[in-house]
Amino acid sequence: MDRREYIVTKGNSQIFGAELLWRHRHRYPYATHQSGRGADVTVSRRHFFLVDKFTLIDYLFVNHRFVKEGSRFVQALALGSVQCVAISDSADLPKLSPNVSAPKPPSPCPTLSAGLPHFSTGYMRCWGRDTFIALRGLLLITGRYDEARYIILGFAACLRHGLIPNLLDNGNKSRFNCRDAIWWWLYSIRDYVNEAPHGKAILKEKVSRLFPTDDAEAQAPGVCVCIMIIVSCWTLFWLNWIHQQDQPLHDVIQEALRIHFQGLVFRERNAGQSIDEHMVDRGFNNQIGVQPDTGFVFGGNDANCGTWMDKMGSSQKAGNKGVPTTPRDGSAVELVGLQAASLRFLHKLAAANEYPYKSVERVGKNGEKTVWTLERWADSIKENFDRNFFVNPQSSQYVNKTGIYKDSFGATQPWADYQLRSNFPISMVAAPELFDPKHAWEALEQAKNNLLGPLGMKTLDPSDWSYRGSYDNDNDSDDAKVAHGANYHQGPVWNFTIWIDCGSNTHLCSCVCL
Amino acid sequence: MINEAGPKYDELKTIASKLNLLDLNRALYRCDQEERDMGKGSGAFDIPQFGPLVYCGTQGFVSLLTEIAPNNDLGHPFCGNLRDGNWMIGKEHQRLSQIMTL
Repeated sequence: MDRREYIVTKGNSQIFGAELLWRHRHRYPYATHQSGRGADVTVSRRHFFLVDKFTLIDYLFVNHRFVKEGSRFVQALALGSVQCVAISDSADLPKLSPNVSAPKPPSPCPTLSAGLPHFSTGYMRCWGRDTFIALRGLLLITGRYDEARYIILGFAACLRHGLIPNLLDNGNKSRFNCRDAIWWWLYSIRDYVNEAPHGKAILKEKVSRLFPTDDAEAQAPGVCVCIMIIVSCWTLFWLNWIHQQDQPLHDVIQEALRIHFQGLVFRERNAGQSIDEHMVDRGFNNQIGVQPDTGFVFGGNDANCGTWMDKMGSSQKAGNKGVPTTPRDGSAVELVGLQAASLRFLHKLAAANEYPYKSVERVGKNGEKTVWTLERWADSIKENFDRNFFVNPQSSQYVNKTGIYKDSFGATQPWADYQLRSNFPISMVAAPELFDPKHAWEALEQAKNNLLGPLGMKTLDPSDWSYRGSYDNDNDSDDAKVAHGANYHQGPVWNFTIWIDCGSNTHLCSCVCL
Repeated sequence: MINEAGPKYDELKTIASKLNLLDLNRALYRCDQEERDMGKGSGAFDIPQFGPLVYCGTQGFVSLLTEIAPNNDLGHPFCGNLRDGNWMIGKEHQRLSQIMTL
């Protein structure tokens, strides 16, 4: 396979991070470390006394058996956690509520780099989806539960339009141009609750909202007194007072669900070239919602790109400026999977009286109310998923491959629904209940035969008309499919999806064999 | 092979037992931008005739040595830099000294 098809990508993949790639590329055998010490130390001893990082692991993950007693491979991956979790003065979390339980967060608070070196400082360091795709691998599996808690709460503080920021930018300059971070965030909360000691306590942790209303300017935690002086209008003050109070995390979660269930059309704040050089005006008009017949989350339009496949064209010469390569509007398959898993999780908590809300409500144009319990919502997705997403020969004129799951449902560009991409395995891991096991097995075979490589998965089926496997962001040709790296997610291998593929195989083996 | 006994190793154990993972991030890693972001007037170590290292911490050197060592490439610019003086160790000493917890 052509080496150029591999790219070191934005750090969704940290647990399969730089260490792994680097070793592979240098054909550096993992076995070198089995005897305890590698060649690097032999050399270093001749010249200097350099610390062997594997020695340090024994001390640093001292309370965490999975890493401490794990193989050298596990330990090498755990070092991704040491690489990517760091304190950055220019990319801090928003200040958390003073009422957050102990141990209290340090200031500045450690954050996850979305990838070294391009996404390591300033507004480019902290991405909502990257953070929560990687949170489990970097912070939960490695036992760094408090840092995980701060990050979950820090992003919760920024919730606006029912969404978690795409770019955090310290909270006060967050951009809300992604539709998926909210679901990765919720799914991370699920992982935290299931895996951290006393994980359920996080649901009652206090969140100091930066944007208590959709239109609010960023608020500092505990600014009520200032507001009292500044705001002469008593009503406005009272509203601010109410909103300024710390909220438990479960209220923030419920607000996100309620806004999605109600549906929201919004225009991104400060829309224009100052926040996005290339997006056309229509792209700043965003929407989110839930399909009333299926319960699937949907959103976006064909002029924006609200999922991890977020390449916005920028070449005037090639004519792709302002054209997102992969808008993935409609219901993107991994969002529906993460959504179903999160709803099922919250329903179970609610049934055990550990989550205070059992349902969501939508108010129609004429004031009519629709109430769905969380259970009904999750059931509705389950009933509708396989028959709407599995592609059989009769599905549509746009079918390119059968025996796969669609990449989206209801996209503006109808053929995009039918493209074979590396996203459906995410849903298989998150919500295996949605899948007919035999269909799922067939689809995984297709993924294995068409997408899987030794280090990751292709982002698009090579038989697709728009497949271009070689990514070059400096390409300044007049070929709109590749100019300025437009094909970022049109074939190039991304490695974070490989654990997902491994995971979905493991899940399904038991289902199919039984 | 390094000897896992003796005073040097005991010293290492003492130092390592005081580190947390964020200290280790600074000791082993941090790319050029992260280092500059700290505002202490320092970036990645730049080897003449070669270029800047990927990491400012010791991993930056270790990665390079892993390529140099198997070939015993003593003509590598990094080896030249080591022969030219204590630039590398001086720089590392300076940056690690800025981390209070170390």
